[in-house]
Amino acid sequence: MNEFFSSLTGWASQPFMLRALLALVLLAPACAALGVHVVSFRMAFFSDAISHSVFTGIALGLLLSLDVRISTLLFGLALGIVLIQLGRHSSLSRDALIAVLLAIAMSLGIVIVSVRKGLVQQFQAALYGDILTLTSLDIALTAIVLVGTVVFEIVAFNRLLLISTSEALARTHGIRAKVWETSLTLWVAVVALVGLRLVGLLMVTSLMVVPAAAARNLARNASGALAWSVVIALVASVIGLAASWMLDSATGATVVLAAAVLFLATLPFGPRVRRS
Amino acid sequence: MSVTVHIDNLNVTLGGRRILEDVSLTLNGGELNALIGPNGAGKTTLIHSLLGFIPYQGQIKYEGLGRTPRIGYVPQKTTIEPGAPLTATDFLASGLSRRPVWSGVKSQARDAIVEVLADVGIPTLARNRLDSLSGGEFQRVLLAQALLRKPDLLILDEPNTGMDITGHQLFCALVEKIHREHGTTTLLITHDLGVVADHARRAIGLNSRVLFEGPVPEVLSEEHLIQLFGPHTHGMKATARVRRHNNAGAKP
Repeated sequence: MNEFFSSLTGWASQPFMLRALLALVLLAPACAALGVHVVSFRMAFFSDAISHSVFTGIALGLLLSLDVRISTLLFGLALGIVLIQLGRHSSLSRDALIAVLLAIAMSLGIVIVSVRKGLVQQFQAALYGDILTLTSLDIALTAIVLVGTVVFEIVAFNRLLLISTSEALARTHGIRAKVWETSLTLWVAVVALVGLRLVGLLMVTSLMVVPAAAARNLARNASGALAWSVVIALVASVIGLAASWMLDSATGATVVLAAAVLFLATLPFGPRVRRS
Repeated sequence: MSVTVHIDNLNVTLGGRRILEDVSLTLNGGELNALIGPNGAGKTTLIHSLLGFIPYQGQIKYEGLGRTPRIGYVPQKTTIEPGAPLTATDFLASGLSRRPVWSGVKSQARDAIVEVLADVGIPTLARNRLDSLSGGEFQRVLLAQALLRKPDLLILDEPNTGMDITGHQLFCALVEKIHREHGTTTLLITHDLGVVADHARRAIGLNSRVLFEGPVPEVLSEEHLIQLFGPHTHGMKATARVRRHNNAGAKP
């Protein structure tokens, strides 16, 4: 019994695990808060595309001798802007556009890597994240992302809420829908690109969407949705980190799995919705 | 003092297609003006011009206020995503103040919301989620958000969307009641000629150009309706005529 208890709490005595916990506690609320809008604006697929753009971002960074953080961020933001512009001006559906750009962003990166074999290790780190080897810079960047997200939620929350209801209505309130939708898109891109260093690109979108979706089952109003999303993401982070220590599993995936279990647990509490 | 809107020689071209051609009309101050016309006539384009959403040539002038009027707008199509955790209070508060609704709604704003929901006949729905409301209730919430702006000009773009005939009539009766109480200049777009006959003072027939404009009893004639909608409007014409006849004397 004592052995089980110590294995359950032993992770908390390891400095690298505490660092990982700190990083998750900073990242999870930012992802969860943005996730509320990602779900409202049906952007889950979009943030997936942005996180997958990291393939080309890394490859370009190494080819052009740039810091891969900067090249990844710049390429991700550029892809986000292209998506917004095409989404507004193309006759193709947004989903189809995202799928095309996702294919380009991924395949271009893979082609470059297949030519330059030495890049494979960088790609693996992007795929799965590397939360146990975080540097102080990583923690600082994640803290900046959290502060930025809080500021964003103060300034943008009401505006995005009105835009998601009716863009025309929002415009009569003096809200420039294009500006705020673009701001949301770009900030989601920034958070996704910083977050994938921690939990990997396969999981960063899930960390946005799953807590926000679970929150919809519990919340009865907009503030409840935000609060529940953040709480669920934090609880999933702590449980997931502890479980990954015990199971020796990939941390990012275990955190998202914990969030998914919480989502399933909230399903019975979801409101009945009139669909007619 | 109510605002009178003068639209002079308004031309709008979108995607290379002329939508509005030399549109000149007046929305009389303090009156309920109905804008009618077939699909694709440019009714929503005219509203979007008034709201400043699209570029146009020509002039839109406001008389009677000495300032730019506040416009309350009830849009044509607004669908709430099922499952969105958004209450009537969240929605109305987000338009009232920039303070994020997740940080709480100030009591002053909450009082204003309770009051306006009572005005539109749904005093108990402040905490209800929008996705749980009927089409008619939701339309009233949209009207409430327009009224919260204390508008000088109230624009309703086909508010019958999602409502049955009775619901639409009740809604328009509510609009007329609020219009009478506040004296707000109102522009109502509708396909329902019965509603026009029952509730509007003036009617404007639009089909890219203004085909007629004036007091409802004078302009809602068979000749005008055939000119506007073509020869397939017998049902609508009959309805309008009967209602106009029934209401004769009820309206000044």
